[in-house]
Amino acid sequence: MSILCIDDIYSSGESMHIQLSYSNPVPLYRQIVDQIKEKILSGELPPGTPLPSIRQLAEEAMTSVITTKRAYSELENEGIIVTRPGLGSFVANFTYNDLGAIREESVKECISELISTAKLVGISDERLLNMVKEALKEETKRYERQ
Amino acid sequence: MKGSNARSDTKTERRNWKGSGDYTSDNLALALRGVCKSYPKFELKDVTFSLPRGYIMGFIGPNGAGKTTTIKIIMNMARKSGGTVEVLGLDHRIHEEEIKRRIGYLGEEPCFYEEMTPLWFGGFVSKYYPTWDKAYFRATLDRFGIDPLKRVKDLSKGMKVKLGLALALSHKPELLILDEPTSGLDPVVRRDVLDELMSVIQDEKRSVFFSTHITQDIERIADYVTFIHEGRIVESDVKDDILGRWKSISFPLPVRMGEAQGSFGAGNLEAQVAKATAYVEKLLDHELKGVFMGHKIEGLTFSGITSVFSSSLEDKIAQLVGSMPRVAPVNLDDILVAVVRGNDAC
Repeated sequence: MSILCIDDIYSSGESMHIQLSYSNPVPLYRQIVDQIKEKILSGELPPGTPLPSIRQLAEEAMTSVITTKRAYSELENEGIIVTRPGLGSFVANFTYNDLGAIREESVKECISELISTAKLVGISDERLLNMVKEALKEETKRYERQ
Repeated sequence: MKGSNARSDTKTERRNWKGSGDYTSDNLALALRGVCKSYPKFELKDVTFSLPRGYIMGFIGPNGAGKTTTIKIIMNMARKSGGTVEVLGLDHRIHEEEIKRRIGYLGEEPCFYEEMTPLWFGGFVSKYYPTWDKAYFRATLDRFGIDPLKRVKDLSKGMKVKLGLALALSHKPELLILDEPTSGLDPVVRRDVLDELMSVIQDEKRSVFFSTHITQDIERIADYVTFIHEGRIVESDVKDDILGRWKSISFPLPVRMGEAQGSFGAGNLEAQVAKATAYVEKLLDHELKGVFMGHKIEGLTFSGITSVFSSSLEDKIAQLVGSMPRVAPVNLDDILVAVVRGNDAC
C-alpha cells in the first residue's frame, strides 16, 4: 500500500507525500518506513537529501510524533538515513555496492514473506518455484509487448 | 519551514522513539498520581497517568466516565480528595497562578459575552497574560477565517470553538488543556482544530492534553492515549503500543482435538463441537485466563479481543487449539467498546 509521487521534486526536504492507511494492518510507522525506503531505493531521494524533521513529517502526514520518530529510528538502524545532531536527518551516502545490498535485502524480505505464505496455505517448494518461474515469464512477455 | 531550529529536535528524540522511559517530573507536562474524588453518585479512583513534554495525549472515555471531572481537578476548578497533580512540574494548587500563566485551557462550552467581538476578547484576555502575542492572535483569527469585528452571537458553533482556541493559544502556552474541543463540530472544522494542535507541538517543549469521545481524532494525531471508564484509568500508554497490544483474535474450534481422525459422523459432530467448546471455555479459565477482554463462540469459530497480544501468545494459542489463530488489528473505537462492554463487545 505505498504510493509514489514521482512528479514531486525534493530539494529541501519539505514534503514527503506520505500516504497513511488507517485500515491497513501494517503498523503506521512501518508504512512510513516502506514509503520512504521506496523513494530512496528508487533513486527518487538521492543520497544526502535532507528529510523533514520528525515533527514536520508528523504534521504533514497528520500522524503522531512518536510514530514518525519510530519510523526514522528504524530507517537509521537499517542504515538508510543518517541523523546529524543539530542539522537533521538525511538520506545516507550509499556507495553503489551498499545500495545494491539494501535493494537485495528488501527483495529477500519479500521472498521470505512469500515463502511463509506458501507454507501457510500448503504449497510445496517445487510448486512455489514453478509459480515464480511462470510469473517471471509472464512479466517478460508483458514487458516485450510494451 | 526548513530551518535548523525546527530540526534541532532530532538528536534528543532519536535516543528513544517511545519518548517514555526515565522522565523526571521536569520533563513532564502533566503528572497525576493516585488522584481521587468522590461525589454522591460518582467516584474518581486512583487516577494516575503522565504526559511527557512535546507530545499530544488523547483522553478517551464514554460520556460520564470522569473526563471533565479529571480536567477540572487539574485546573483546580474542583477539589480532589487525594493524590497529587503536577502541571509543568509544579503542584497544581501551590503554584496555581504561575501554572495558569503558562497553560492554555478551553472548556467544554466556552462562555462569551455575546455582544462583544473577537477583537474585543483578544484585548480583554491579553491583560491577564504578559506573554500575549497580539500579532499571533490576529494571524490565528485570520487563519481560522474569523471576522475580528463580528459579534460573537453571530458566529457559528465551529467559529466559537475556533475563537476559544485562538484565545487559549495566543499567550503561547506550554501546555494546552482542552475538554472535548472537537465534539459537535463538522469534519472540516475538526480538521482545522487538529491541524492547529499539530502545529502547536512543532515546538518540542509544548504539549497538548485533550479529552474526547471521538476516537478518530486521537487515532491520527495523539502520541499517548489514556482510557478512562467509570472513574478509573483502564489504559495509559504510547498509542502505537496500545494498538500493538490490543488485537482481535479468532480461531476455528478444535473439533478434532482428542478424537480419532475421520470420525466425523453426522451424528457425533454436534457432540464434538460441544466438547471443543467446553475445552476452549476451560482454556479461558486456566491457560488463557485474563487474556481476553471479551469473546464469543459462534458456530465453529472463537473470536475475542485481547489487550496483551504478543507473538508468544499467538504461539501459545496455536499450541492449545492446534491451528494458528487469525490476528487482526483493532482501532481505538473497538478498544473503547471492549473496555465499556466487556464480554458483550464482540
